[in-house]
Amino acid sequence: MSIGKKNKKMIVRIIAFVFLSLLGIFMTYPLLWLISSSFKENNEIFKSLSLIPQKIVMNSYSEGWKGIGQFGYSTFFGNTFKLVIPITFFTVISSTMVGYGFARFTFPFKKFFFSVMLAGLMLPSSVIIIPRYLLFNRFGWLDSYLPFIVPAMFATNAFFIFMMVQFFRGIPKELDEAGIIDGCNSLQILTRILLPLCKPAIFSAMLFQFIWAWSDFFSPLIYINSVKKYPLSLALRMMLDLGEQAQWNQIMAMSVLSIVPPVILFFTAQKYFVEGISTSGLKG
Amino acid sequence: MRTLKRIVSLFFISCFLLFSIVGCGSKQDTESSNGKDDSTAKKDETIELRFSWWGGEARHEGTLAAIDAYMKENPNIKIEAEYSGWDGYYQKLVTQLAGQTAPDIIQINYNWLYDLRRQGKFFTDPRDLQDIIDISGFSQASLDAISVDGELQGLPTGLNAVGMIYNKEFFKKNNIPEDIDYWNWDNLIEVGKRVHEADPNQYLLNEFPNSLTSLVDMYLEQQDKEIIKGDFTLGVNVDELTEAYEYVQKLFDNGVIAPFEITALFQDKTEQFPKWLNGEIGMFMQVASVVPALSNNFEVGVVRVPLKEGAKSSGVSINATNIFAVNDNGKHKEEAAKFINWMLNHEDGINVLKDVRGVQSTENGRKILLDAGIVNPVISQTIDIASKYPGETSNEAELNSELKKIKYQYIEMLGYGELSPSEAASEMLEVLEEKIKELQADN
Amino acid sequence: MKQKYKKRRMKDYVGLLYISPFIIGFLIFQLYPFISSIIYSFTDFTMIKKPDFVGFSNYINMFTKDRDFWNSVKVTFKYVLMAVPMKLIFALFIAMVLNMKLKSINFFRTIYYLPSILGGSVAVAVMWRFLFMYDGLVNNFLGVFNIPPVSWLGNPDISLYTIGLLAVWQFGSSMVLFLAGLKQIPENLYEASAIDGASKVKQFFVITLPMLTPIILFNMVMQTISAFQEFTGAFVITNGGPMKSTYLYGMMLYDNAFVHFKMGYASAQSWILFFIIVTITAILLKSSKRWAYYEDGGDF
Repeated sequence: MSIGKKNKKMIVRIIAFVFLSLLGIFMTYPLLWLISSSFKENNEIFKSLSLIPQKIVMNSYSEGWKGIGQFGYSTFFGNTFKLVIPITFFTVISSTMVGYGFARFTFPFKKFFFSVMLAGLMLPSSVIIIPRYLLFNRFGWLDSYLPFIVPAMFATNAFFIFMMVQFFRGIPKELDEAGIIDGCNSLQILTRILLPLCKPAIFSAMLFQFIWAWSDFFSPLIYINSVKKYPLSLALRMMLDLGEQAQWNQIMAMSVLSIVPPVILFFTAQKYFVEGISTSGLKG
Repeated sequence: MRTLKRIVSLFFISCFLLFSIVGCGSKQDTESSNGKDDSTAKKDETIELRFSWWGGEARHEGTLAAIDAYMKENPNIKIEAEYSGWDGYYQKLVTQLAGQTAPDIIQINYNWLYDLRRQGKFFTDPRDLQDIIDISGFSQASLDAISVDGELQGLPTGLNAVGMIYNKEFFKKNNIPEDIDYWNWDNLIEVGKRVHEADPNQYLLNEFPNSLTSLVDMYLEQQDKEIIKGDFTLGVNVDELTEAYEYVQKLFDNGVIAPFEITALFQDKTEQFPKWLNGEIGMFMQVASVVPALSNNFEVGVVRVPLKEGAKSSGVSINATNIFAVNDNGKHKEEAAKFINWMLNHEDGINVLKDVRGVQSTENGRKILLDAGIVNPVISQTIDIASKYPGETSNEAELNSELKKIKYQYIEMLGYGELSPSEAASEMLEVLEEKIKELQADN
Repeated sequence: MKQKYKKRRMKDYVGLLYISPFIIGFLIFQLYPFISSIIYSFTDFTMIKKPDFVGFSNYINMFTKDRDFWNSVKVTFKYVLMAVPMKLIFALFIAMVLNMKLKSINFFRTIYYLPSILGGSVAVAVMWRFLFMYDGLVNNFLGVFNIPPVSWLGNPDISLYTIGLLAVWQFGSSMVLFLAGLKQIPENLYEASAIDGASKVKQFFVITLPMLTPIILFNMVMQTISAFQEFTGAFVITNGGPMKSTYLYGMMLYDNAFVHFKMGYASAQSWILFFIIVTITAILLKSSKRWAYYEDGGDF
């Protein structure tokens, strides 16, 4: 009886493992191809989908790293961090606060503000680009990172507010009440009681904002003029033009490097959003 | 739902209230910033010029070298290089023009000239700066090609023309003569059919929906016809267009041209198209400037486009690859013009820039580069062929993006077999007529 | 009585304080673009040229004359109805599997998230074309089983599904949120029900699914909103073709705004899209009162 149960469990695990592996290959084929292309010769890259280079080229990384003109990829990586870290930091803080405000308090026009916030996500961006550009131009913010960082301070991305609201609402209100009895004020309830429980949500928000800001192409394109301020997403396309012979293996090599920081971030952050939370004792 | 309605209406009311405040503020702001501009213009220290272009690695390196050399010669000039890839360049430029933040010197594309000029005057006519820019070296035809209503929009940086770019190996393997003057519309079908029958994976011709549209224009132009004339009237009747589309149908039916189902994904990305890279495509119509990107895997050559016997015009025109324009809103138009003049006319400039924007468009410039052995032979040959068999330059109607889109749609439907040639012809002319009316009402 | 009133006022004030960054940010960074686009939608604004007021003619033309408009509405609805449920079901399923206590599960989680990191990069566009082109990898694979080649991106009847598949492939962010949501469910609920003898399947429907409803709602709303505005996939891979079968609303907007300079018209079109999305979101949120379960008692 017990052996049968053990076997069954074993079989389930093996099936799950095989399934995950097969699906994993499909999911990562583009990445594997990207990596192998960075070691191929230029004229081989588009000829076949094979993952094994006919002739291995080693210098695409060192050559590509040099970049174009005065600016190498060390500059572009540095810029990207300078851009992405403040955005991520401020987004997480501001949207947690706003999310907490929406989820736990009643105040006049709450539904109105909430709808307005959601509405912010729904108007297609291509038509608000011009007015927004004119606004930032008037502020004198063009060719700087302010058009990215300042809006992050003011929680302009409704995605994260709504996300935090949904997670806060999944936490029982009795916890807050317990805090009030212990004499906590609202900020202490947030930081001492709710935040530890919201770790999965906070780390997801951090991860998403980091990755989205990291790979965003269109906004930096519009707002940044000087090459010395280019983030990676712009730098990577700088080598691409319709008519010219592109150094594809170098582009691929730099693309591979460009996804390393987000991958590392995901790998280290995942333990926070998959770690179980024990609310036992307070529940049930 | 009721609450939502209330919310939405409340939202709008507050929106309009706020807008009146924001609207007032904006006017004041622009006034004050104008005041600032005047004060900076008075000081004459270092002059800073912004220069934007798109391109690939070679063009960036060449242009940066030119900037460095120029700044060394003119220590009071500082040129800020704003270079990028092709992706998004146009959208950014449009945004900048709207915000009056465009650079002093702008590289623009031939296709945008009319669309941009209809929005406003953005670029200074180089003839207004004639004591600074020497335009005597440019042929009248090349200047006419980039003029809108007689107003020159900039200066051509290099020459470009379409030709039939072919895979030399493919031609040898299939016993196709590499004679430049070989092709006409009949033998195109004969040879194409033979090649495809010999090996069903092979196609003589590869045209994407956009280049096939140009091929149809060319086919008609050789019969002295145009789908839309320069004055925005239709220049063909249903029968004439049907005949042209029937020819296209024949290309598909006989396996001369690879089906869209296989090729359409690689439009404008031929350098990534495995069928071309693996030598299964004989030739296609392309502008010369892309030759370096296409000749990665094998040798390519160029031949004349198919020509109808006795045709007055080949339908091929020599265009500017890119154009250097002076921002009409810029603060230092003279200095910008000086730098453009140096790049295009001065020997030092030409020697540094080399052929990163195609074959130089001045006689003198071409000579300098030819002597130095820099020009790609296939590119210069394409230009030679095009000047031997000239055609008319594209008019505004041909470059209009909305009319272009309609022509594209019908070629697509024809190619996918959704419409027969006669259906496509009659339907398209109807739609074009409607759109032309709308465009004229707008202007 | 009086004290309670005072306390409530105090609480109001605190709540507004917490959302004040949003209110300020909204006023400065969103309201102005919003209003501008409403006003543009009643003009013939072309980005640069001085706009003239044209009344409702943009809206009238859109509904009566524009052949692309209705096509794009149809294509977009088809896309949303297909891509959103597929993505959510897939993401939830994978999140459940990845929530198991398998060895090397960290590795798998990272792998499954990779497509979302790659985003709309050049490599993805290239790869997707290679996989689904006529003599591409997928058809080669099908050939092994004697299945005739399918024109995945060349056939107008199929291409939209292939583009949808790209969206499903990038299911990573929904998956992460589901994982985070799963972890918020207290272990002891499962323990208690296991003692009561509930099967795994029953646990899923009685505990997991109800407890996840706030996150399901969030994912559903967000994915729907972004699917209606989807642009990148179709833009980089098919450019709207073949024969407009993937000409999504977002692409049409982009063309009108940035290719044809019809900014006034594009603004009108985006307000129509805005109202479509608002309506559908409102329906989703309204219906959620019936099915979404909140620990905070659900009063909002």
